[in-house]
Amino acid sequence: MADLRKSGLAVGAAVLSAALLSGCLQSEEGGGGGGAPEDTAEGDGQIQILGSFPAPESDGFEAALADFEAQSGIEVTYVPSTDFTTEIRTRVQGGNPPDIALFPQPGLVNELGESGDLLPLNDLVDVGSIEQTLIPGFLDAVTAENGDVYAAPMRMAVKSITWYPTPAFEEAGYTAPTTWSEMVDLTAQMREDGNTPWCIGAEAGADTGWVLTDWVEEMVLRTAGPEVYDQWTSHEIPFNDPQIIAAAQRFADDIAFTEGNVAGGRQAILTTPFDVSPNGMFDEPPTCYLHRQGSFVTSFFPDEVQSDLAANVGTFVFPPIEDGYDGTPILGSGDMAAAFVNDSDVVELMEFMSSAEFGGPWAEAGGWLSPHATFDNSLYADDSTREIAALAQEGDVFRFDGSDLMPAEVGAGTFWDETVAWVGGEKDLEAAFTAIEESWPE
Amino acid sequence: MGIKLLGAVIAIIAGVGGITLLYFLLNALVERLPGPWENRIKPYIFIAPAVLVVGLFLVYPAVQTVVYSFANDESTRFIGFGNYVDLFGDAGFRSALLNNVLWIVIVPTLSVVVGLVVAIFADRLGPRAESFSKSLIFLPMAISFVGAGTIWDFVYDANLTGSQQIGLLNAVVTAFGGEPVVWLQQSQFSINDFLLMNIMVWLQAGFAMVLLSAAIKNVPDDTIEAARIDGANEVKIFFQVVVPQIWPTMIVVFTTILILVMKIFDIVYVLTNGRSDTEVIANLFFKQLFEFGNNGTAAAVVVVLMLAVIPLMIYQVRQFRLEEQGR
Repeated sequence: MADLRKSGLAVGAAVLSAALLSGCLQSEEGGGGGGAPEDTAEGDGQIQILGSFPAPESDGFEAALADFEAQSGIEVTYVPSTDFTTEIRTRVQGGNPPDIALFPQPGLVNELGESGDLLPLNDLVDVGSIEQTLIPGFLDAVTAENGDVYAAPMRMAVKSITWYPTPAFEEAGYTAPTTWSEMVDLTAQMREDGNTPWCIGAEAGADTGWVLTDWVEEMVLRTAGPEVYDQWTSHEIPFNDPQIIAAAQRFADDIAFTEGNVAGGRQAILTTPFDVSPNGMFDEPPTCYLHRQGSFVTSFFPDEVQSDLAANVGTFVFPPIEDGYDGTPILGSGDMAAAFVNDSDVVELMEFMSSAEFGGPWAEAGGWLSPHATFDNSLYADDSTREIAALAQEGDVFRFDGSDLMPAEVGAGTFWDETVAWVGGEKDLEAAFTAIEESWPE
Repeated sequence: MGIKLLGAVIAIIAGVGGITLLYFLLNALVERLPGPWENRIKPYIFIAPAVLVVGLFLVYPAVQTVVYSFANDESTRFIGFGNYVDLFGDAGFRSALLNNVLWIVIVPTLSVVVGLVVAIFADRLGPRAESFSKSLIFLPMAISFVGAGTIWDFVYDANLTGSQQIGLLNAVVTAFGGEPVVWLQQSQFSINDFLLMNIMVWLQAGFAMVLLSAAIKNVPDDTIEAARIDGANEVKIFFQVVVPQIWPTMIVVFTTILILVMKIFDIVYVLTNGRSDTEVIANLFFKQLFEFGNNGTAAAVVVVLMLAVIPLMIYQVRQFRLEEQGR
């Protein structure tokens, strides 16, 4: 026993000394810019960029940088991370951030901006001038509460697109709808013909749920309108506001839960991987005729479809609802460049990436849309991309993916999980959205 | 690649060489001390580097975590017991806690039972059949948790859009004319939880079997023969002669798997990420720290986990010591 007591004493001593060593917290530095801009240091000719898109998506990005590298003599290294959120957090916490990071989520940009880790964009480039050419609404997503902007949009994805398999669609005598009621009538017609209208797949491993939150956001924009949408994403109204519940219910009634409306039925939405889900449109005969997904989905289409997109797939904008918001809102997302290091190389590259001229070679390579309204659409590789770009440029209202604007606990946590629980039938809509509201951090 | 390899070789040589040199120098210093002091100080000199390393890499971070658990989510200000109050008020955390309890009761028990049953029956086979059947049960031990999760994800897969079932379980169900079931969403009676636990049992039964099999072979034959002469049947012999003699091994196996299961993360992360009421503490911690950036909440979650594991560790160390003394 004496033995045990002695070892207890030693453990106690060790813990005590460790406590003395570690008892302090991190200093509360930064606190959201505000101070005088840091001086720009001289660059060392090398820049590291961390981003979330891997090859082959990154090939176009590297092509877009080739000219810049040749002219400036700056060597740019792009490091893709499939687990971007985790990696950027650990690197920032470890004091080893990249020079520039391309964030897919504005929520994280604003968080790191307010903590003082990111440089305010104004220190590096003229925010006023890029704002003039950006699609309106884009920069709002990365503007912190104190008015500081921390990131420059450099890539856009348009989500409000409905895809259909042109040959089969036309053969069956269907025409693309322009309004909600036309679309509802069309789906009723399809069911009558013995066809299944929609393919919806939301399974995405640990990220399961984002497809469904996109649907809810589309519905909120179309029923309650962009103003309510902004209040909702910034939590000025509760998450379970009756207008939001009504929007989600409309999705259930008109699309997802109607018997025979979704391939495989309501449960299949959760078990079908999102990247495989559009393939039903190209089966022989098609297992579905409509699919709503972002502009990036083309890279998941079967190869023989991709080889001639214009002939194989048609698109129409996800239609506005007549008794809802008066206008055609466009939901989108994008990648935003933010800098951790203030040196002359970074400034040069940030100016280049945030300009309206950036991206010509990437547009040619495909899979990329410029967030600037003034971008020369003739640079895109094909007509269907041009149409989609025009959708966003001409849309009445552009709004950023709401789940990316919400705090991560909600936007990448409960909003996903609870919506999945609702669609899976484990919870009713009220209960699910109330649980999300309760999880919103103060 | 070549440079990395070279670096590794240099690191090993420098590391091992450096430590040897350090001990050599320290030893030389101590030997210069006068008479009795040499022997008094020597043990401390030799244990000091190990204590320092453990302190730096284990005790210090652990204590820092406890400190952070009393601070806000940015680790800039102390907020008392706020994180703990919030945690225990959160239905999601309580559900994760309950799931962890289910895990630690069921998985070690089942692993030990399955391992024991296999060990007993394999013991009665011929040597070749024994080693074959034992290898088969032991095989999954070589698979990582993430790998096992992916394998079983295919087993539990459900395809509702009408085409062929690639999921084994649903292929069986549909072969008998049933409707495909989305297994991992069946939260009633925690069915999906049990399906996840099944994976862990599949992985750990081999470990239990190997240790228990060795213990069974160590049971002296004369005790069994004596019982047999006294007229005991096989079942009685097993429960009253064999089990008491392998009991310490069963306890060690049980607690080892139990501690492993308390930290269960990979399988849940890969298959459900905590959806449909399958959340566990370690996955909750991962989400809070890396996905939501809540240092305080995440620290509080692991402190709860740490507090729960400590008594078990102490019990296991004691049990191990008892066994050592018994030898």
